[in-house]
Amino acid sequence: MHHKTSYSALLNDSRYPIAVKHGINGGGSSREWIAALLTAAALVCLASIPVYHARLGSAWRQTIGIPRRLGMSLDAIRFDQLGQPFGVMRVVKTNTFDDAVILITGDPADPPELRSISWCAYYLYPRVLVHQEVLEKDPDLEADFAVTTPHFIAGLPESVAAPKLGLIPLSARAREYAKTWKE
Amino acid sequence: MSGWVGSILLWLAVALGGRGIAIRLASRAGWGLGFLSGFSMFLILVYVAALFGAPIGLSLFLIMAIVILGGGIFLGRGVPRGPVKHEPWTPAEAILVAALLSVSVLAAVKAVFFPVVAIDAHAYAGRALAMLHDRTLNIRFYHWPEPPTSNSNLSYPPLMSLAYAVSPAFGCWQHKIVNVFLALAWPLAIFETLRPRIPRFAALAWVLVLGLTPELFAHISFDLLNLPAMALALGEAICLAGYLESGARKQLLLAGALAAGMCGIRPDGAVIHGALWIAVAIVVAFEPRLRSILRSDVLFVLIACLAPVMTLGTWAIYMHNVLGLSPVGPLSAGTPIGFGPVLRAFGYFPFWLEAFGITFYLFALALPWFGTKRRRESTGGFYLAATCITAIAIAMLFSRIDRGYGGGLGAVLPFSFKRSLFYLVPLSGLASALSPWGRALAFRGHGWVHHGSLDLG
Repeated sequence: MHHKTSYSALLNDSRYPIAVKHGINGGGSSREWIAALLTAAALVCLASIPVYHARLGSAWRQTIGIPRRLGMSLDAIRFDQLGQPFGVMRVVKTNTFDDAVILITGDPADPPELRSISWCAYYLYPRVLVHQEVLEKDPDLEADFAVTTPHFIAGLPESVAAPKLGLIPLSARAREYAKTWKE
Repeated sequence: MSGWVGSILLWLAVALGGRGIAIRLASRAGWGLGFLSGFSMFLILVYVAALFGAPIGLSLFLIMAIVILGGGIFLGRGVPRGPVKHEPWTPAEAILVAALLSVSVLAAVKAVFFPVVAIDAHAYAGRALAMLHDRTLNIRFYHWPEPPTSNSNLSYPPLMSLAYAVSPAFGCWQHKIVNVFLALAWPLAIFETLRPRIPRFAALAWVLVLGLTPELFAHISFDLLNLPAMALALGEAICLAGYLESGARKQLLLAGALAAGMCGIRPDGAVIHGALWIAVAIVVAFEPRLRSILRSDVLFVLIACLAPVMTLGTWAIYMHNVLGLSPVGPLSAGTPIGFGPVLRAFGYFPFWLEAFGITFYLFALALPWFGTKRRRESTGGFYLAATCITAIAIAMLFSRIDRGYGGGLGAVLPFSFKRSLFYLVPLSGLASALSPWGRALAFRGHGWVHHGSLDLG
């Protein structure tokens, strides 16, 4: 009863700041631990919402995967992440010269990575990448190499050499360069 | 390994310098706003130097980082700082801090774990490599064999690609080291904004909720533009709110620098910049005291409004005069998307739990509480106005986009539109946190905060 009267008087007393009126200073250790418990429970609830759980889970898996990553080369990390499309890029980069013009697939049936000029260019720059329609529009432009895929190879003339490492030399200088390829 | 260390040291220098400059221009600035300021100014300096023919490379990055660091140390000297109060932590606050530190570690790992993954991210990171290779903004991509189209990411201003070029310039393959700094800076800037206005417990809780907004958290892994542009938009909003609150016109210079950085990263930043200034005009219209302040600061207002000309404007001129290209853009008067699909997307994406979690639900809960209590300061009102006007601006922008652009409606709305909502996340979060609803927890006490944590004016 005494406590109620004091609290009511405190609320009406303009000399005290609102924080004091609402009993926030100190709080008492038991109140603090209850607040801590409720905070922890709220965090668990937030982390249990499926989308938060998924995001935090994937970040956690990446964190515990760091030691494995530290032992891997950059190429191995990229291959691990990107798979075969990166494998193709590695082969193309190793087996072409820097100023090569490279024909890539535009077939919708092929992986979107291998169809994307900006994706391929990230790994192959300064080589220039073109689609078939660009070559058709500009007859003076000659491709040095073509990156072959199961869908794209079908569109090439039968006279070209059989695909090697997913890469076909098309121009004279490319065919000359291809002689340096290792089996 | 030295490449990693070099990149990290460069961004640390930018953070240190940016903080010094920000403290001079906005006295309450901390490390969050400091990094965003330094980041924006560093990129503007590099870009302008490259525009005038300076070769893009490690030397240019180092020189500009030293300029920012030196400028920050010089300007930050002698700025009076208030006494630092060491307040004891309640167990509840300690739990939140531990959670935030854990999330920060996860965010840092997210940024650096993957190589470039997303297909469109290769355009920005690839452009960084190309600029380093050619040592110029005018890389061969633009010319040969064909010019860029409106679908090309390469027609964007190049500031973020310059940021992604820092790591490879040091010989490090991981472009996204800068994402670690950005991922930590924007939540920190939120905390620095909220801390003087609401109890520490509540500020920490809001930072955690906003920082974990699922789509934003996921984007830490990507070499994309949405997260950095959003962070700089937040920085500009904080400076504008600080100006409205304090009348310190130097904050407008900082707001201008951040706006120029944002517009140099994403062209749609110009729309967000305009929306933030409309929000300023709305707040001024309701507060007669601010009108006379604004009139006396007209030069600073003009500088802040026109700052994006430094980046987006010069890029449009450069594209036209040097690259010989007409500015490309997705807007069309012929077959625009129209308001209907955009409004339907607005009804869906902010409340689609998978993308934005509970962030916009909290804003929706806070919204009715505005106006229930007369506000003594303009900050909360500004963030509310900024959220609403920015949302309207985004709706208008997307309603004007050509139906055939970027893969059509089915691609533009689930990707570009959804990501444009990033701009709303910090604005709506700040508005919610500063609403009477957002403060409710603190007024209840019961062990959440010590009384020293309250600063109710």
